[in-house]
This record gives sequence, C-alpha cells and structure tokens, in this order.
Amino acid sequence: MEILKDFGVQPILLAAQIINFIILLLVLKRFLYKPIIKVLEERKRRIETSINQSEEIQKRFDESAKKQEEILDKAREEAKNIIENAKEESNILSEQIKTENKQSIENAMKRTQDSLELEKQKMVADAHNQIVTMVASLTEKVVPKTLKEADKEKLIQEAIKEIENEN
Amino acid sequence: MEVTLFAEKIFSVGFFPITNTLLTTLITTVVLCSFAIWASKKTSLVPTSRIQLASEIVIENIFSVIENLSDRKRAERFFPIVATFFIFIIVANYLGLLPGFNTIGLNETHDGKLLFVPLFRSVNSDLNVTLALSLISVGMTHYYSISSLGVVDYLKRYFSLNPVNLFVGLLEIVAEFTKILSLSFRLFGNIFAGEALLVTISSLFAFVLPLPFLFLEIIVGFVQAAIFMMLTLVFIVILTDKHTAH
Repeated sequence: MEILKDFGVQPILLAAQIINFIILLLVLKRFLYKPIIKVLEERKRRIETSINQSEEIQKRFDESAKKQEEILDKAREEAKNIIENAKEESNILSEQIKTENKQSIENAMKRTQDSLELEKQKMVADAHNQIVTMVASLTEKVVPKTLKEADKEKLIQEAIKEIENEN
Repeated sequence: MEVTLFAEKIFSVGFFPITNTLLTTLITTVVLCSFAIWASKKTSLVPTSRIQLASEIVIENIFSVIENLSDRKRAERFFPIVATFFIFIIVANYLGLLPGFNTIGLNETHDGKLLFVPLFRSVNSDLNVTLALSLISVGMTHYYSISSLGVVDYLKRYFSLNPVNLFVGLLEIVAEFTKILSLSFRLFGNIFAGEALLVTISSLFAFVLPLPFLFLEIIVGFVQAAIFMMLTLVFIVILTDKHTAH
C-alpha cells in the first residue's frame, strides 16, 4: 500500500469522494433522470397512441369509402331496376289501355248497332201496322158494304197474308 | 512550476484536509446538482427549453447504449449509476480545462521550501477520486450481480468443486481486483498526464501553443468518460447475465 501513499491516497479523502459521488448520484437520479425519463416515456407513449389512432382513422376512412362505393353501386343497380320495371309496367299498362279502348269502342259500336237494329225493327213493325190499317180501311172502302162481317174479316186476313208474303 | 502526483492540501477543517481536488469535486457536484434541479423545473412534454433538450439527448443516448447491451428492464436499473459516471467524469474533465486551473494558487512554505499550491486541480488527476469511482463501480457491479442472480449463483462464479472451474474462479477473483486498479489508474493516468502536459506546455509558452493540446484534452476527457462508463456497464451486464453464470 506504499504506492497508494505516493499517489496521495488518504482513506478520509477516499470516503469523502465516495460520499460525494453517492450524493451526486442521488440528486441526479431524483432531479434529472427520473423527470426526463418520465417525459421521454410519456412522449413515446403519446406518439405511439397517436400513430395507432391515425392508422385506425385511416382504416376506418378506407372502410367507409369502400362502403360508400358499395352503397352507390347498389343504389345505381336499384335505380336501373326501378326504371326497367317502370318501363315494363308502362308497356303493360299501355297495352291494357289499348285493349280496353278497343273493347269499349267495340261495345259502343255493338250497342249502337243493337239500338239501330231495334229502331229498324220498330220501324218495320210500325210500318207493318200502318200498312195493315191502311189496307183495312182501303178494303173497307173498295169492297161493298154488303159483304158479310165474316167475309170482310177473311178478305183482310188474305190481303195481309199476301202483303206479308211479298215482304 | 510542476504538477505533483498527489493533490495538495489547501487548508484543513479540524482534522479533515481540504485538498484542491476535493474543492473542485465539490464545485463539480454543485454545478451538476444545480443543473439537475434547474432542469427538473422546466421539464414539459413538449420540450421548449434548451436545457431539457440537452439533457434529453444525453440521457436518451446513454439509455439506448445500455439498452442495446442488456435489455429494457436491466437498462432502467443500471441507468442512474452508469449515466452518473459518464456525466460526472466528463464534466469534471472539462471543468479541469478551464483557465484558472493549476494557475491560480497560493505560495506556501513547506519544509523550508517555497511551494506553489494551485487552488483548483482537475478532479480526476487525483487518485482518491478515481479510486473512489472504481470502488463504487466494482462494488455496484457485485451488488447488482448478487441481487439479480442470488447469492448461490453469484458465488458459483468464483467457487466450484470442479478443479478447472475452481482455477477459473480464482482468476475471476484476481480479475475483480485488477478491475479496480485498471479503472482507477487508467482514468487517473490519462487526466494527470494531460494536466502535466498542459502545465508544461504553458510554462514553455503560454500563448496559442497549448491550444492543440487543449483540443487533445477535450477528446481525452470525452473518451475517458465514455471508457469508464462502457467498462462499468459491460462488467455489470456480464455479471448480471444469467446465461454466463456457471
């Protein structure tokens, strides 16, 4: 230990230096390392969470964009379908309307024809009656009044028959 | 004017001798402590003060060095001691380069001779300091080794029934003592040599001429602090590693 004395090593100074260093260590640990490491950790944590969050947001944004596109596609498809259906329906409707119109026109025509027929028949009947009365009166005038009542009747009937046969 | 191998006593408080290196050690401690307290008051999540940025750079770099050599859990444990070695040694070394060191002093008569006693002397040019540092370094290494491996595994490294391993263990014990010597004398030798060099050059011609040597000392100051830190770190990591325990 002679050599240590040559270098001026004294136990008391050595102890003083050791104590000094330990005090320095404790002070630095308390006032420098702890707060700075805490801040570094906290910052690292914050950065990590914010990066994660931004990734999450980006993911969600992509997803929603995809969804939006899907919805748009669906809507387009639906719109196309609706238009097609409407076209078809309108075609059917117009066809229906056409047939209905035709029918109603036919009906109307039939009705008018029917009424015309009726009118005609009525007219014919009327004419028939008038002719009958005319013939009766004529015969009464032409044929002498001496003819018996029964013969008169017979003659009229024959005349009418003849007329009817002519018709 | 020459630099003595040991730190000179300036005065005594009772039986307690106050040497010039003890004085500069106290100055270094006070500077670092006030820096730490000042920095602690200004820490914020978004760094705005330069003092916080500077401390963050130093701390983050040292932390990543430790983390690269061990792992996160051990890094958190070893960080304070390892970082303090680096910061204390480099600040002490650079403080010793300031003007006034080894030049401001008192003339004292000692054994009938007139002696110049500098008031300030570079901290690590005193073997007391470096020996204290290396004792703490080795002591903490063993403390960490015991606390992380357990006493049995710790002792297995040095004592074994296997004769070959017993011999290896013996060498390990010797190595532990040489660690103390090599750590302390390396640091002391480098800084003391630098001190002596600067004093000698300054006594030859004090203007401009010492400048290149000052730059050299700046490099040496950093390198020695880094070496002391790295060696301490490596010793701690090796002795706390579970895989290397026999």
